[in-house]
Amino acid sequence: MDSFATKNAPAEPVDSAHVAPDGQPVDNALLSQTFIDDVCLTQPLPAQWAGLAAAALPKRLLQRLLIALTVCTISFAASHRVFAYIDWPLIVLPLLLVLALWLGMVPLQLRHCRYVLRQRDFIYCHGLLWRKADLLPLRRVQHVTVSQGAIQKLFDLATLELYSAGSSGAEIKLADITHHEAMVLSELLSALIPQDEPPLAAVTSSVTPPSAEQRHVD
Amino acid sequence: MSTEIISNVWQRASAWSIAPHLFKVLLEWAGLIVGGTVLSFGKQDYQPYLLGLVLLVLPLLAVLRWRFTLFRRTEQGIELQQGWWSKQLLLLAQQRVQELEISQPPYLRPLKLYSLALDSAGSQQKEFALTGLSQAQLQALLGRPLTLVSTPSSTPFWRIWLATWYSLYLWLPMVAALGTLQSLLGNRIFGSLWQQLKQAFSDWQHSDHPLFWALLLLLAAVLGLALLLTALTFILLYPQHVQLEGGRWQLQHGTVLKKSQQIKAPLLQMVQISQPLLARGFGHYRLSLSGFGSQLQQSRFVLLGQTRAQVTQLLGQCWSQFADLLNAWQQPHWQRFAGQYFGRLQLYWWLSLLPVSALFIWLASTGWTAFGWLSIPLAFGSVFWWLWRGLDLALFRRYHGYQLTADVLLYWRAGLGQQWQLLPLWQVQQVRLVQSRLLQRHQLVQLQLATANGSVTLAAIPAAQAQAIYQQVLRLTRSVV
Repeated sequence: MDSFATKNAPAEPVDSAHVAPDGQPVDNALLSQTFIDDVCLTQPLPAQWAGLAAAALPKRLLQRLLIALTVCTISFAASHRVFAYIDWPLIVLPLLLVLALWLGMVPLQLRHCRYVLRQRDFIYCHGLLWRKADLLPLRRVQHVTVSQGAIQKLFDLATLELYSAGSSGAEIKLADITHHEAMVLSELLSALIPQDEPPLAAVTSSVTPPSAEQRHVD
Repeated sequence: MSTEIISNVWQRASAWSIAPHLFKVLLEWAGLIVGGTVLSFGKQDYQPYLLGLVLLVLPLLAVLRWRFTLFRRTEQGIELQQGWWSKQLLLLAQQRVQELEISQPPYLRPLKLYSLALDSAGSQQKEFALTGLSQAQLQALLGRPLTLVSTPSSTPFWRIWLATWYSLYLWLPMVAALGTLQSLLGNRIFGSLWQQLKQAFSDWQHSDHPLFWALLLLLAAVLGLALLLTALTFILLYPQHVQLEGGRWQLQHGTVLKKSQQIKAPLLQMVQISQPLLARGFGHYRLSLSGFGSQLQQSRFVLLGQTRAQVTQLLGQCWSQFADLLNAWQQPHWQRFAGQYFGRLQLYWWLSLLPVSALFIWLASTGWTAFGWLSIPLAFGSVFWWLWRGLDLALFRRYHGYQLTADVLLYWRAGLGQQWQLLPLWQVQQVRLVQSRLLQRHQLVQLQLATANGSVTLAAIPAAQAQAIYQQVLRLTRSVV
């Protein structure tokens, strides 16, 4: 069942709320009492918030393992002669400890990642030690992109990026949600962006050159 | 040349604009030129081909680029067509033009030609740039007469020059220019200067009157720096004109490298007033107006050497209710950050004493020889830096505040220098909340409001107040057109 059922969602916010991931309506009054309350940020999440995909955990673990393997291989290849004179336990044990900590952080980080699409804004919460919440009013969203890396493809995951005006990079980057959810969110966000603005100003296209009589050489 | 709007007629820039096109082509083909030069040194057979490339092909590319760059103004807006191999048509609706920059590089000034750059809304949008336009063409493109004369009076030279001493960001172009000069002139001049400096320093260390020589060297360094800053001021910054006309802020500055910039008044993203420590002694301010930025062009006016009366007048033109802002901080209705936040900052400050002490003790134990003559300045400099930070923190804790009006957020911070930030809430693009463990315990949050060009961060405010501010942002948010 498509949990984002409003494929033809109206452009303007209406009194009736749009659909949340679990099928429950989400309006902007949601969590207004406890939105920024630390109870909301630390306690078990309300049902309306959506978390990352279950496959995000193995994907991130695999990604970090590959990174660690690459770094170790390059380091060893660059200075293997040095390693020959060093006591191995002095290097391997601390490295394994660091790697274990780095991998152990992944499930904790995923547990604190969540997002919700409301009538007027998109909210993304993340962060382990420093809890962060990025709030993007829908009227500020210029465009939305969905990208899929090589490792994400293995797990059918994707990254949703939201851009606002004037930003050099994505304002919100929601990584490791299912590809289907990313596509549905992208369509839903594009439909919910207010349509009262004039169309995009700058358009580039390949054209044939104007004829000689249309030109005026100064 | 007629000043009327010429519509639906394609035009081409002056032939003198081939020069900047040639420069761009040289930059684009720089890798091939460098590679070819290296090869030709080793094998003489490649030299004719390299020479042919540089003398024939690259100028031809520049001419073709000029020949096939056309523009015109229509009822819809401005159209630019460029490219001879792969053609592109760029359409820019007039109402979507966010930023407009007219400049006159020195080589175009005798020819009375101009460069134009237009920027539209949104990220990753293409910049619309043309070089070598006559005034008539410029007016035809913009659709209105262009008044590039009769500008208001400039900020006095000495105030701008003084501002360069405490505006360290201006030193970057100066360092870049010096680096370019050095590479052009080779090491002959700079190398000999450096040798003379080292010799002078050595003489000072071994002289009978080290204090005299030290003062002399310091004076020479200050005079040299003053001369460089004078040149910087004259080339880049003076004269400096600003006025609000027809709903647009217009700034012009510079003599050798003259630059003109415009910001639509409704698109003002943020206003920032700074008064560094040195400026406080003279009663000067630095006023920064941030326009609508994009990936390619971050538009920010910086007005140097402004007096209190000038800042008040400019603020009154932006928002009349804030004309008296510079005096308003004395009033009690400004809100302040939570005390727990400053307690944590103070803890960090005390913790930073550990590495500073360690460095000082270590340098002393080596007999001040670890880094040669730099050891003593480094040791005492780090202690001075620590004390400076402490004083700044104490003043920040005592003198700061923020105030939320119906649609503008004001933030004032005073340490050794002062800073005011005015952020219109309707320009906010994104809001970020950050909570550390400390802030969580006390139900506080750090709130950052980001516009397209600049942001304000309130370090530790009650969570409920942050929510109220955000709700206000949602109510006021409207499209940036």
